[in-house]
Amino acid sequence: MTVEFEKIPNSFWVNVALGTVDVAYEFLALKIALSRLRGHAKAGPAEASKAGEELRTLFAKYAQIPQAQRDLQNLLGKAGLS
Amino acid sequence: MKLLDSAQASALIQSGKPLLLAGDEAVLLGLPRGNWIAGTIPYFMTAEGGCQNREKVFVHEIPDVVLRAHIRAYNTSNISRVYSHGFDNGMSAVIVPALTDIHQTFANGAPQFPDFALVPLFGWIAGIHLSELGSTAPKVVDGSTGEVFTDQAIVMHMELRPGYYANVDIINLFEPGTGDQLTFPASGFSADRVFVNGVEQSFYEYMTKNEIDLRPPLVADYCGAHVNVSFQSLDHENKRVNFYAPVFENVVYRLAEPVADYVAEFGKQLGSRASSGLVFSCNCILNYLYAELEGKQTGAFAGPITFGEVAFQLLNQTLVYVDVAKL
Repeated sequence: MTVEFEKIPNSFWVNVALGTVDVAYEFLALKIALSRLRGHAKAGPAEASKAGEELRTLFAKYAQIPQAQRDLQNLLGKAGLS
Repeated sequence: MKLLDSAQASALIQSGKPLLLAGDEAVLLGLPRGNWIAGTIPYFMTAEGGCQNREKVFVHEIPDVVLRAHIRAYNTSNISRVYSHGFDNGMSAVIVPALTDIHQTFANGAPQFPDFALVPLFGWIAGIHLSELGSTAPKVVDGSTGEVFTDQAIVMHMELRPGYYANVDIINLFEPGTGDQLTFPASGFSADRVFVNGVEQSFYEYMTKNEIDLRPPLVADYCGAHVNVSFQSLDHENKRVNFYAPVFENVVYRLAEPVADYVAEFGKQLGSRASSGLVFSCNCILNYLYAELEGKQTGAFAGPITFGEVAFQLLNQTLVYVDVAKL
């Protein structure tokens, strides 16, 4: 599965970082990193944007790993972007 | 992954294979130089069950899909680069000596280090025989040079063949209970104050007044992953509570539900996780002690019994495992 990351709007990553788009996650790296990013994202819009960027980097890094792919597909589906 | 005698381990080392080793200090120091890293510990989970052994070495053989393996030691000044130094398509194994500044620096700082979680980092905290607490220092070894460290972490960064990936995961039998929400005003390996459902009070008094059992850990929900912080002791003199891993400010913890039968519950959780690509696992010495795992089996998950586990960051009372699979 190939995801075109450049077509995913920044707002999607910010919403995932804030937890307003959420699913039951499978991939451990994501669970642990996202938990930290959520703490940062709630500090304000600039922090939320930065957390969204870090989240996109994480998903791009693990784009080929099946567990991460399933989490991303579930999130995109939840956000109406799949 | 198996417990070998010194001659068998030496033969594997001399074959040139990258290895992750665990054993008593005297055995490790007698091994030939080679492409291996190690930590001290005399407790193991094996196919035959939990055991202690001061003559043998536990060996995790790195699979052939690893193209390159680089060994590097990290001190408190450069451990923050441990994720950044990992291969782009790889995995990194870390062994940290317990009860040291490097243990504290890694545990407290890892989630804030650059490139955190962007490399599958796994490993364990080296320990000692429990009868030697306070008299012997846990150690890690760089097998390529023979150097022994009590104050540095040793890491093997491994590059995987294209088309393969490493997956680090955990089995944690502890669930957060339904009781009080606990948050801490400061991060660290000990706490004197706590917010109980938002109301600040002495954590030591909360623990003693409620006669809290120190065996089950605190559990935090990390977006579905249950992350434990184990209780080490109550400091009666300074009215503090000590932990085996840091609590983090702004993370919500709950006391864990006790696990009645660890081995039975573990069997239930195994499910489809016993992968044929399993390359590493370790389990916590507190599970070994509290669940009385000596002589009891935990399936395919064999490895050292540790003073802390690493799956991206430091964990407690958790089984960590890694499998390598084809995309």
